[in-house]
Amino acid sequence: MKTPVTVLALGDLKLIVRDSTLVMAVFGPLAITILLFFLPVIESLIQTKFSFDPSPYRLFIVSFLSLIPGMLFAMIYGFIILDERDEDVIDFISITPLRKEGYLTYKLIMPMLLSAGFFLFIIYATALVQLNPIHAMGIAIMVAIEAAIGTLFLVAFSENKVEDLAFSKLLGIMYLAIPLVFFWNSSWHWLSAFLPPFWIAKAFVHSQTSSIWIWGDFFLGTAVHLFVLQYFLRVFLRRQN
Amino acid sequence: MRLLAAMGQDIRFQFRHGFYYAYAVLTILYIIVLRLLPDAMVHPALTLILFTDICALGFFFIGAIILLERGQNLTQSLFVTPLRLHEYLLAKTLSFLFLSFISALLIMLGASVGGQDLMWFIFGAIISALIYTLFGLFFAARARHVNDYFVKALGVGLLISLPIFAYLRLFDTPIFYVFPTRATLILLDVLGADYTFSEKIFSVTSLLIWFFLLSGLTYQRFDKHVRHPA
Repeated sequence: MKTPVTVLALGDLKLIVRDSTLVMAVFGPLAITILLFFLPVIESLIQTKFSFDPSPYRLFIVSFLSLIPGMLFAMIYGFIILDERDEDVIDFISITPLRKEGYLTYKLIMPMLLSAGFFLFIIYATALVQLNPIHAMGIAIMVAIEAAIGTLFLVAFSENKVEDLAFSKLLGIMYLAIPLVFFWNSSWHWLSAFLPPFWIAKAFVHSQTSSIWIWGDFFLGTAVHLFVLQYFLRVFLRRQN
Repeated sequence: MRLLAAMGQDIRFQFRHGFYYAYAVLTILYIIVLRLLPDAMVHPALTLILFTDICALGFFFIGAIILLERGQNLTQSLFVTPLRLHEYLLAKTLSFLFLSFISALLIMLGASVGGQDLMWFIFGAIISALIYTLFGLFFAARARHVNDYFVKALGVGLLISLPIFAYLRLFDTPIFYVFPTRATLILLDVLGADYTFSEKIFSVTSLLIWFFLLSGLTYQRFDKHVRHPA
C-alpha cells in the first residue's frame, strides 16, 4: 500500500518532470558544481591576466555558491505550493488523514533534504575547502532549515507566481550577510546577525580557523534559523486560513 | 491613447504585485554597495548591476505575467477589444522600461555616477532593457508553465550572456560581437572605460538590429500562439 508520503512524492515527481522543473532543479546545482570544479583554473587565469591572487577569496566563493541550490529549491517548491494552492489541492488534502500540517511538513522536508544533500555534495565533490565532517553536518542542518525558510517566505506573502518572483528578489537580499561577514572588517557586521546566512558564513570562517566559537555559531545559528522558520510558518498558516 | 491606458494598467499591475517595493529596496541596497566600493570598482560594478538585474528585470518577470494573463484567459478577452497586438506588446515593454529607467536613474544619482558619454550610456540602457523584455516575451508566448519559461529562456539567455567573459577580460572571440550582449556591455561601460567611436556606433547599430528583429519575431509568435491559438 502506498503511504501518503509516497503518493505526494510521486505527484511531485510527475509535476517536476512534466513542466521542465527537473531540468532547472538539476541544471542549477550542477552548473554551480561544475563552476566550482573549474574554480582553480579560473583563479590561475585571473592570476596570470591581472597579476592578482584571488585564492584568499576561495572560502567566500565556496560558502556563497554552496547556498545557491538551497535558494533554487526554495523557489521550485514555492512554485509547486502556489500551483497547488491555486488548484485548491491544499484544501482537499486538509480533509484527508494527512491534513494540512502533514502536507506542509512534506513540502518543506523535500527542499531541506535536497539542499543539504547538494551542499554536502558540492563541498566534498569539489574539495576546494577542507571542512571537518562534523562541522559540515552542522552547516548542512542550517542550510536545510534555510531552504524551508526560503520556501515559506515565498509562499507566505505571495498571492501568485508573479508575486513569488518579486519576493524571490527580496529573498536574495538575505544572502548579503555572507559578504558582510567576510569583508566588513568592523563589529558593525553583527547588525546582520538576524539574517540566517550570517551564521553559516561565521561557521565557515570559524571552521577554517579551528575556532571553538563554531559551536556558538551552530547553537545560535540554528536558534535564529528556527525562530525565522517559525515566524514564516505562522504567517503562512494564518494567511492560509 | 489606448497605448497609454494599457501601459498605465501594466504599471498598476506591477505596483500591486510588489515590483516597485522590491526594486525600491534593491535600488537602495545597490546605492549603498556602490558608495562603499573603492572608486576604481564603481563603474564596473554599476555595469554588472545594470546588465544582470536592472536592465534585465523585464526578462525575469514577463514570463510569469504572460502566463498568469493567459491562465486567466485575459489575453483572449483583450484581443476582442480595440487594443491592437502591437499596443499590447509595447505596453508590456515600455512599462518595464519605466521601472528599469527609474531604478537606474536613482542608482546613478545615489552613487554620483556620470560622464561625458552619458548619451551613449542612456541609449544603451534603454534599448537593452527593451531587448531583454522582448526576449522574455518571445519565450513566454509558447511557455506552458513558469518553470518551462525559465528553462528555455534561461538556457538561451545564459548562452548569449557569454560576452560577460570578454567584459571581464577572461576570454574573447570575434563571435561575441554577433551577440547583443556584447554591444550592451560596451554601451553600459562607456562611462568608466574608453571605447572608440566605431565601437560605440557598432554597438548602437547591433542593438537596433536586434531590437527590430526581436520585435518582428515576438509579434509573429504572439499573433500565432496567443492571439490566434490553435
